[in-house]
Amino acid sequence: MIFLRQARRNASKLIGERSSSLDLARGRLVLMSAFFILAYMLMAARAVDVMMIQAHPATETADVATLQESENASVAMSRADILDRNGELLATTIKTASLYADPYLISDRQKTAEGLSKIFPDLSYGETLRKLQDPRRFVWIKRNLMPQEQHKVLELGEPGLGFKYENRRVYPQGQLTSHLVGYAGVDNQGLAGIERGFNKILSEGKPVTLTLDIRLQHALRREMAKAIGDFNANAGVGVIMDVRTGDILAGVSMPDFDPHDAGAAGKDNLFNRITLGTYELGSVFKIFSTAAFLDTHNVPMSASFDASKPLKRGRFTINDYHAEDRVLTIPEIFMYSSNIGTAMMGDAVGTERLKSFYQDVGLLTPMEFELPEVARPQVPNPWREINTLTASYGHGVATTPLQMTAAVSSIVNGGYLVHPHLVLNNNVTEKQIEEQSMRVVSPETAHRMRQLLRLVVTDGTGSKANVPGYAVGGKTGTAEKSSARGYDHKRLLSSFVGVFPIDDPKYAIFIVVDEPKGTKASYGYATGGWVSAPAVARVVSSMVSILGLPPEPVSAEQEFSSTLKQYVAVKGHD
Amino acid sequence: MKRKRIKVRTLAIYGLALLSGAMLLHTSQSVQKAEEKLHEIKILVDQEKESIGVLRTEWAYLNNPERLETLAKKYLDLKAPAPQQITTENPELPEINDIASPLSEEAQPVSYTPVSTAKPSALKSPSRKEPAPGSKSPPEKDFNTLMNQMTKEGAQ
Repeated sequence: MIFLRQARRNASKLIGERSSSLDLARGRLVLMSAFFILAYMLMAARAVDVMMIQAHPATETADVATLQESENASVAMSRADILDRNGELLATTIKTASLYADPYLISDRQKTAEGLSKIFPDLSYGETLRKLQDPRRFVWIKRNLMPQEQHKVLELGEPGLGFKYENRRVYPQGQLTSHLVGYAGVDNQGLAGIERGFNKILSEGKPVTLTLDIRLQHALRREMAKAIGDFNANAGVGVIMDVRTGDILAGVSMPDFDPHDAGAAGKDNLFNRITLGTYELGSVFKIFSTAAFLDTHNVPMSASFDASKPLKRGRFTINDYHAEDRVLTIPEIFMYSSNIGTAMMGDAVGTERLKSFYQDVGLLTPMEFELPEVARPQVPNPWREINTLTASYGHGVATTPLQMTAAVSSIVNGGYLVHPHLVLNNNVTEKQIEEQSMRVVSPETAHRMRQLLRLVVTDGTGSKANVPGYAVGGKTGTAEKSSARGYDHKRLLSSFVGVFPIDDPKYAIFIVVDEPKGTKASYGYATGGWVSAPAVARVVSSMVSILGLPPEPVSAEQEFSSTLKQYVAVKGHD
Repeated sequence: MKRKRIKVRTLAIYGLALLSGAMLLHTSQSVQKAEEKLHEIKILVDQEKESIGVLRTEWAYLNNPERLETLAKKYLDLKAPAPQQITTENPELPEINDIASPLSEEAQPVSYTPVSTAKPSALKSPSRKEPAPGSKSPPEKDFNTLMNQMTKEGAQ
């Protein structure tokens, strides 16, 4: 009996367990199905969401914007700008779209050709239609579109047309800075000038600021073009430099070229005469030999040399261009540009000293410069005694106009060496440069040289460089170009280096004109004093109004060179 | 069979799970929307930057000193001043520093003798001159011409 009760209890327990495990199983099934129902509901909700809630009408700008999105380089990574010292744009990169067609995908050839020829008047309907029938999968239609033109093409709505984006280099100043800024090739790699010298930095997107002042560059180029045109010359070079820092404010080499089309330019146009042209510059070198003489021998300015007879050394004879035929003092030798007197001074300096002096002012070795195209000056090797004599008046040694300007700057600034540079450095002051630089002449020699340079303009061969109110000093140079048969007196290199304001110089301007021909107005003369000195005067006139430098008229007694006048014999006739 | 009582706790937990799922979905959707908007704005910013670049270039091109000089010669009757025309000594003119600026706080009205109104007879007022009739003015180069010239060598 107890066993039955027990069995019944067990049975009911079993039923309870079985029913609770059934319940459990059933519960689990419910849960699982609920989960799946939830999941499907979520997906349904998402579907509704995607199709209706998020589907807002795309605005026109967003649509077109997505279509015009660049595939490759964005603006940030494009080649960086080149600027002048005032922030004016000299070179920049513009992203242009070039239109191509995939003829396979063109839906309606005639309609597309018609639309394209309407947008671009220079594309003919027939030619475009022919292109669209090309079996190839890629055909250029037109390159370098303006943004408005690109927009019009998109409005055609032709799926077979597409755009490839290219970065083009643009030079807004045109050929004004063609040699110094340089140019880049089709692949935006620099081929000349700063574009080449700083290719890596520009490619990384870092802009380069130059020491150039585009306004001065224009003034220099304009006056050089006038001088070359007036005197029917072949070519010309000009440099404006800050004598205290070595900043190159302007540098022009003519003939020049359009940097957008450098491939079409002639070799003569592409040639950078500023840094690559080596010339026997002639009498402007007398600045250096005179400075070397004054620095080496402490003689008064009244010291004189006998220039009455040509100087003979071995089989060489040295003559004066306009012989004075008398004994000349140092100021007279300089202002009348006597070769004989200068050669004697060079002789007194001696070969070793003169050579090392020229070396110190940076005339004899290729300069370290931001441009890769730099010439090696031509130096006599071996350097004999006769070379010292000729080098003292600028023959036998050929150097670049830039080195010449820098060397003159190093003397007139008070006697410390300045290195010409094209990239602006705002982190160093004039005083720091002066203190850290090597001394090339004493301050006394520098002062005397400034007086001599002013004398040339007030009373000597450089009188046409005078600008009233501004103390301009300088030196003329009229060098005969050398040919196979010696020096050709018909082919000249006429130059003038001007320095102002002479009492405390700030600017040096050097202009060289290659093979000028005398005109009626110049009485047949084509010397530095007739050709280049007036050009420098005009450049100075423009510079002072551009830079806002007020004139300082001085009387004859206050004139900087007045103390030298006592050493200059008053001439009875001129 | 005993009716299974649905506990409030269970309901609450299921409810919270649903709610958090919905919130998660909403957040991820908003983030996605915001990302897309950001992408669009980035593209527009890039385009504006490009336009600015083009305008800067055009401005620099138009400010080319040679171009300005040509235009000035053509339309203005002015010349560059000669050094003799510039003077630094005229006691009747006030010094530039003495003229009170309306922006400076300690500006005091400064009395100064007025400049003589008599005009120097030699000077005429500058006039806008018309280019001489019959003179053929060279075609004015503008920025579009420059860009089109670039397309010349690129067009195939």
